[in-house]
Amino acid sequence: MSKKYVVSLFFLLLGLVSIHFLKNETREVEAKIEKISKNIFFLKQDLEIEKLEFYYLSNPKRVSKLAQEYLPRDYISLFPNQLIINEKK
Amino acid sequence: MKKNKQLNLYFSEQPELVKKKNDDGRNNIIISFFIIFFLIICLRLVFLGFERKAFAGTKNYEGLFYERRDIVDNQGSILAKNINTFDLVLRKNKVKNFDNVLLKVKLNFPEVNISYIKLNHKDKNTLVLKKNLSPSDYNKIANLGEPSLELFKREIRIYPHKNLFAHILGKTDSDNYGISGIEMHMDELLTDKSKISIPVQLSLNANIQYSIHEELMKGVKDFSAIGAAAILMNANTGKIISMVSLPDADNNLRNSNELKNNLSRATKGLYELGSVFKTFAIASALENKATSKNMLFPNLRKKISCAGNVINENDWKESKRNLTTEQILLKSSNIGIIEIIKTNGLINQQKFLETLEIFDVPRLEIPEVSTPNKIKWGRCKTFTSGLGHGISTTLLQLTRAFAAIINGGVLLDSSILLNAKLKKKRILSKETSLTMREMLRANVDKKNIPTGTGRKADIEGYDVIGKTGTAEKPSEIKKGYSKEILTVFTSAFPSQKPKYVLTILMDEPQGALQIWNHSRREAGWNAVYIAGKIIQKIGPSLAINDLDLLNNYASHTKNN
Repeated sequence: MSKKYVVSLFFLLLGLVSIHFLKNETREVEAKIEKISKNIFFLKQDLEIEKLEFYYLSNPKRVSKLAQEYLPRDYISLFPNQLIINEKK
Repeated sequence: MKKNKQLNLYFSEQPELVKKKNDDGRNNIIISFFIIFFLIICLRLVFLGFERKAFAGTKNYEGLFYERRDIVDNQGSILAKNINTFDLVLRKNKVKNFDNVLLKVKLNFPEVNISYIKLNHKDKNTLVLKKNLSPSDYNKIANLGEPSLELFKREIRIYPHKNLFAHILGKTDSDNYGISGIEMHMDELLTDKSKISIPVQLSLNANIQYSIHEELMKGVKDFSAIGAAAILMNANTGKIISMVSLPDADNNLRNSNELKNNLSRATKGLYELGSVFKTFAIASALENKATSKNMLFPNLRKKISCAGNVINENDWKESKRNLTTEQILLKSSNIGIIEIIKTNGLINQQKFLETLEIFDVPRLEIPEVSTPNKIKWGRCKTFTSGLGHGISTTLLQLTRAFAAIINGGVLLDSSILLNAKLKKKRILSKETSLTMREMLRANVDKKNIPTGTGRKADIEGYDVIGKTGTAEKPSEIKKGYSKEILTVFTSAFPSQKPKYVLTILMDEPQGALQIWNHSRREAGWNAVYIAGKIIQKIGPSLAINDLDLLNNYASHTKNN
């Protein structure tokens, strides 16, 4: 009878000790996850701002203005009869 | 127990032994309590071990997204977006040395009004000194380390295209609530937390919108108009690709009242739109087999009178005396169209306009729409409805109705949302729609004899079809009409299988001597000309993603 109690107590204590180690291990992993999540969060935040900036900088009005200012005007004219449509059939 | 028996045998009458027995019982109870307590603690520890609590000190980094969803165009280009911003705030209760704080503010932010702070700091606990700080301003505050100068974080809505979508997108107030345009109409959807990371995608295209906006601006300048509007709609889906109304204002200017005074001429302005309504009268008569493309209407008069009012023929010539249905459309004959309405029957004309939902509330995802006045039908009203006179509607309703005439006869709801499911109903047969397209093409075709009013929009390779309308504007100071006019051109392309409907409206255009060497100001000399310029400009952009349009362009131009 007492042997049973001892074995049960042993497993209980073993469980408690292993939970302690698992918990600590988990905390370490969670800390790493937190750090990575934080990085992702700030990167995402930056990305959102960059996206907005990109669409502002590439908005047609601005591109058109810059094109008029900096691109050469002597484009090659492509007449309609020079159009070849490569259509897959 | 055995021991107790023995004790009972030998020492049963000894009082010390009885006492010891009682003590053993008490000890057992206490030990049991300790064991139970220990077990409870053990169990609790086990449960705590299994508990899935977040790591102490872990912040939630999931909530990146803002209070409002982004709005993007059909290519994913951002049209509206929330970003974080900081305001510079002075906290009265944290000020230790007021003069010192003022000096710091003055040195670092010379643009801040110091006298405003002096005047108000006693009455208010918090003073907003500067809104929307730049990153360098932010760093200045961080480096100052002045406890009374705080950074107040908030969100602001940014419109990177400024005024390009002014009337469609609308604005938000400082609390991020939509106050106009799609921002107001879809406020609930835009603030839906469950979808906050998913942008709302519109059917509009920023590049096309820009091209149309630019050409329309030039048009307003060239023809000294007080305003203009344009709608480009997909004739087969009802989705709006572009919608411009001029004048407009930058959506980012929160305090600007400019937009309030500039109503959307595309959706809010109710106008008598003139002869474009002849298209509907002819379509109705064709559908009811009351006329055919080549049916002759002989002996057309210069004018007719109806209930004491005179309806004149525009620019009457002998050549307008005998006209076929097609010629009536091409020459935009008022008397001719009245004859067609008579042949078709007044009730049929009225019913057809009602079927086209000309007098219904436009269904579009913005609040700035007007409900056309319900018409009280009479004989004269029905006649003039064929000329677009005496009935008013919005440019959007006109565009939608015209799309139904040329797309094979299906009336579609209109929308600016890319994935909206729209209702549709057949109102015309395919045959009638085909005949209408032929006649409307003749109205634009430069080579057609006689030439129509839309010939200035005959852009090579696009097979444009369309109808013009010129209407006098009601007078604001007296009963009747003023001398100012409103011109409209509603068009579609390519004629064989129209996919795009483009409607242009010019409000009070003047003659453009510098372009035409004369001062005529009818639609053919302004709205049509602008439509042509727009089609020329947007055609290649549309053709990039539209093989049918590209094929059509190539097949019509390869012999030239």
